[in-house]
Amino acid sequence: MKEKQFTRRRFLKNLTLTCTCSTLGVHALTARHVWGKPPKGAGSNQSAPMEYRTLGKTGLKVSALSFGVMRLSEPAVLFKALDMGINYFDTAHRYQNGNNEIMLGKVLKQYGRSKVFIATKIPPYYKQFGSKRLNDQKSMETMMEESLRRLQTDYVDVVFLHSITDPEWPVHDEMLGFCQKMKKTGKARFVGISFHTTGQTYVDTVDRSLETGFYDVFLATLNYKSPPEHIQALQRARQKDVGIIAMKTQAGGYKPEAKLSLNPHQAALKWVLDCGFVDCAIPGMVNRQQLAENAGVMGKRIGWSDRKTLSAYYDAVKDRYCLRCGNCISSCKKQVDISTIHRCLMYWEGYEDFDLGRATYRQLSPAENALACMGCTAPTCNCINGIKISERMRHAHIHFT
Amino acid sequence: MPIFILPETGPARPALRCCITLLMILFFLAVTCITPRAESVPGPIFRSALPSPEWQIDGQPYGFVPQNLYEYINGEAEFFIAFGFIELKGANYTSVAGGKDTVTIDIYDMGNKLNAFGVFQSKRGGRASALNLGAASDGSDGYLAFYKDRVFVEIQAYITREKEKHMAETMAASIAAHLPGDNTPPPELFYLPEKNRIAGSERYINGGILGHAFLDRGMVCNYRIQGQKVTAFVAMLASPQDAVHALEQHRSFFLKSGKKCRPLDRFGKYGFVSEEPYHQKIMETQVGAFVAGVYDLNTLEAGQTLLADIITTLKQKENIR
Repeated sequence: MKEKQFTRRRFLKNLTLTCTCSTLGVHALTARHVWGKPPKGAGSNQSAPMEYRTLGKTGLKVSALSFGVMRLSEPAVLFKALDMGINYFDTAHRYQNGNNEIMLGKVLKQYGRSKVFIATKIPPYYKQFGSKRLNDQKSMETMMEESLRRLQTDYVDVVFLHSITDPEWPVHDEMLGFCQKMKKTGKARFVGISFHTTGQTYVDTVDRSLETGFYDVFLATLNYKSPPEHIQALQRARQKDVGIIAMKTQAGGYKPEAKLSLNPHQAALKWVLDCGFVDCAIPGMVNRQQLAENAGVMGKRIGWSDRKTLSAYYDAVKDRYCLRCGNCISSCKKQVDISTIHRCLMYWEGYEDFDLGRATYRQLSPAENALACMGCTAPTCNCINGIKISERMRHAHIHFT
Repeated sequence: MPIFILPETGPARPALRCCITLLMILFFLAVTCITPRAESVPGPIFRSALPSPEWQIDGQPYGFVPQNLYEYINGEAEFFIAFGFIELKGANYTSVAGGKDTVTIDIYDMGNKLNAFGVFQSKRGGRASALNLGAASDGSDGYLAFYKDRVFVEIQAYITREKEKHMAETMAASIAAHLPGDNTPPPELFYLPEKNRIAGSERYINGGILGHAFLDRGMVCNYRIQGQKVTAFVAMLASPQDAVHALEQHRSFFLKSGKKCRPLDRFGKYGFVSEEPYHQKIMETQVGAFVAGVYDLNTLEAGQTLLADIITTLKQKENIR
């Protein structure tokens, strides 16, 4: 009997240990586990523990918080990010006319190319006669060569077809040919598509690309305001082991209301990283403070208070946040340019740039601006999303004039 | 009694005041609303860029605003918006004779000179101006960019015929000539002394010099001094108090990172010397509403001379005592 009790205890103990270790091993690898000792450098002793996840079928262990380099001009932020354990950096052939790739290349050469993953994007189309036309394979290969030269490397870890706006593009022969050649020649370890389309095009892009079974990674718009059909599409992709990277994770340009003491950025990022099908997110960051704010999310799951924050945040802005559906335009008999005036207000309230809002407002002619709203006693304007248009128009006119 | 003299007392005074106030408001509203539309990009400009009868504008000129700019230039839209982008106007040109030859001209209204300069420099890289267009320009046959006053212009050309290769430059010159505004760079560029400056290395940082949000906006450029390539910056703050506060925040950052901060003699009471991670030695101080500094320093001597020059320049330009 004693022997039996002892065995059960040992069994339970071993089971607990095994579960804990495997959970840590799979879901919460720290920087030390992946890279060994943290690299020396600025603030390395203060680095938050980074979470690493497997990027779908690529098998790459990428940091859950990765880096959208696009807007960055200061290499110091990249060094700090590396010290914090961020190991996946996203740029593109076109960003800053190639200077973005040059900056990233310089930093990673100094830091050590083999320690990080680089993703760049090659445009699959060019514009001619006002419409988008697909590039041929050769010109894309030339662009790729140029990107590799700027990045000072022989290969990138992922190359994306940049900004797919037509679901048929990923299955086009020239695109598939380019991707295959990049993989075959070792210039790209994996291939993917990036897209920030809306509505059904988003879903169709996912489904058509999945049909090929060819793409390893999707880089897609995803945030807490994403429609369910987009989320379901990405879930389908993840079930087929495609790596999912989220971008545009902070929906809307609105900043937290001082009186609400909200910090929606962290909650919004948590929301994205808490989606089981997301491998990493690439918020754009331009300074250490933004980096620290986003890194503060690591190891934390979205909770009741975060959902409350997001809900309160959305409630705080929804009566002002114009979704630009355009349905209101025909409802005003006086032809006030409602949409543009909402944009002026967004510059002021969202981007906190009053001058920009006023300058844009002043470009409207007297017939288009909200002067007509000032004496309008029977407004016919109507917003299907509940914005009180006439109030907002008067608000704009009073402040911008 | 003249009618415009208000009675000192009596019931008529508040009513009169209300009427006058109302009239003033109405007058103000009328003046502001009748102000002619301030166009940064005149409508006929695209027609003026037609280089010869062989070329024509393909379709109508197009326009984008911050909300839909990403439809045109994808994620790079965020980069422009961060620099204060207001609107884009553009047109496609096609050569009747060449068939496939096309030129696309995009004119970005960035709101002010400094923003236009910031975008241009970010996209240009560290080279001196190669062409004589606008305030500064860069590019070749296939791609040209320049800025003039508050606009940034980008021209992309796909021209196959050899004799037409120069067309993009011709069109760019025409656009530059027809754009309103002047060809001078933003005055902020001259906060940094010109002596020993590496031409083309100037940048306008919007988001944080050295990645610090408290040094949000400012000018940065490289100098060649005593064989060293060093970097100088001038961060622009709202007031002298804000500049002192930013300097204190930077000092605090160094101390938290385990670096020492030594006082910087002869450069004001807030100046200090420390070590910026990956940027060697750094020295900085407060000058009026600015924080001026030099980093990437092997030795402090070169930095001291340059910092003294920056302070002198700033005081002259901004009349700081």
